[in-house]
Amino acid sequence: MANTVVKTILDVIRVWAENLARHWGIPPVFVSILAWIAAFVFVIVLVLLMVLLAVYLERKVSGYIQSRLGPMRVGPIGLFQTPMDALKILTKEDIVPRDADKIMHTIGPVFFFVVAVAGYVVIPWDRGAIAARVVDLNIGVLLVMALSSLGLLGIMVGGWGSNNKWSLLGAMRAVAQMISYEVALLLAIVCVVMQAGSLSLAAITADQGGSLLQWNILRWWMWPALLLYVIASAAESKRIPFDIPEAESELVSGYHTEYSGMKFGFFFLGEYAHLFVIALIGTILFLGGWQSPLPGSIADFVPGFIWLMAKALAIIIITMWVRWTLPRLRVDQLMQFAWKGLVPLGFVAILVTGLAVALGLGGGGI
Amino acid sequence: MALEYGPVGLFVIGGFVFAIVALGIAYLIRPADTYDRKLITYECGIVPLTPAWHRFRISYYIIALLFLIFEVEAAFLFPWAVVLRDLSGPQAWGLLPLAEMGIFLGILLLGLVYAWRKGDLQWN
Repeated sequence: MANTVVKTILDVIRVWAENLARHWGIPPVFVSILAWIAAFVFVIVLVLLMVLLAVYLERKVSGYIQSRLGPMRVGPIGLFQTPMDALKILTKEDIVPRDADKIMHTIGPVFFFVVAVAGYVVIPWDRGAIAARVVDLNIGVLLVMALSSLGLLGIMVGGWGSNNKWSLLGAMRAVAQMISYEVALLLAIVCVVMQAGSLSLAAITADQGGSLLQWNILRWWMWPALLLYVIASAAESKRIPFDIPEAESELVSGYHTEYSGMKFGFFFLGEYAHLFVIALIGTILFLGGWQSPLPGSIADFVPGFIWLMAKALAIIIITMWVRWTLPRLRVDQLMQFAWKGLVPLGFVAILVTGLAVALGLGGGGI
Repeated sequence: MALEYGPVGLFVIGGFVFAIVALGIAYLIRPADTYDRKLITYECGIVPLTPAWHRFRISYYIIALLFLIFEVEAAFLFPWAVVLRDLSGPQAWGLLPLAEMGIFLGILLLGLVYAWRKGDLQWN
């Protein structure tokens, strides 16, 4: 069943829309541009909903871990708390310090948010070749990593433009941390690319098709890369043990100290959008993407999109759990851990996976 | 071919449009009650004496240089990683592609060891 072309609702809608456009005589170029706009609207709505959900979950999970209830007052079990907070952020005064570089102060968060959202363009959401992804670029995973590291520029511009010592220190730390851990992250991704033989996220998903045992998380030669990815991706999304850039107790609030209102909102949105895209990439690289754990069984009737979301949400909840389990690292420990621990481990991972792939493990080789 | 990358461009433009619209809406409905004291840069509640733009510690610069080296290395790794499975195996080149990349990575690893010994990875 997995090998035949299965049509999803998205495919049906897309074919219907294309036929309609042909009937009305709209040129095909405009049709594809309209399709991209529709996809963008889908992604942005999804991202906003996921941010609301993730913030709510974050509060609830934190609450339960600390033996309290979390938000309970606004709406049933506090469900409307986050939408109300979003509304509040929108109506807050925008205070720009007198000494700040006003243009940079505005560009920073906007740029951070834009590149975080742009990464979603290559995510394969579901099975099926037509509409399940916006576009299947043959450099998919590389594009996501490139865009996510561009987010650093937004942090640096915002932190520098604030003309505040806390902001600059936070931004500097954020950049140093993220470029260090990005090396480790890329080494982990190289291992997955070796296994799948492609940079396209759809091909990486397809490589893990067949059964649960084909997922990269259950292939033993991928385990060093998995360990590397778990640690480095937590550092990339600046979660606690690695939240040195924001360390409230020492840096006030890091690079967004001088931000308020919707500009702060964009830093916030971008951060959660980035967290979510990292979870999605982790799902695709190691947990089989949209594929159900037992193909050919009743689990196939659940759409792939739901599986993808469920796995990504599970990863997000685990990062929240980790947040309340581990203490924050010191900045020197953090940097030395990246260069002295993770980069050598990356070389080991490449060696292990390279040997396994060269010897023909995981199919296709010989 | 170029059309393939169209969605990426559209997502970037769309993101900026979304941001401008949201900031515009915020501009219309937010209060603007600024006075002089509110606009002082925050620094523990004292009036800041100097701007934040001054010299910064050198370690960050060294880390950036190291990052550049390893990032370029990763750029070389990716094309190799894509074709590794096809190049390996008894019918093709066997373990040779892996060994060649091993030599390349070994030289890089030497560089890392050198930086380590020099104390550039130390963060005091």
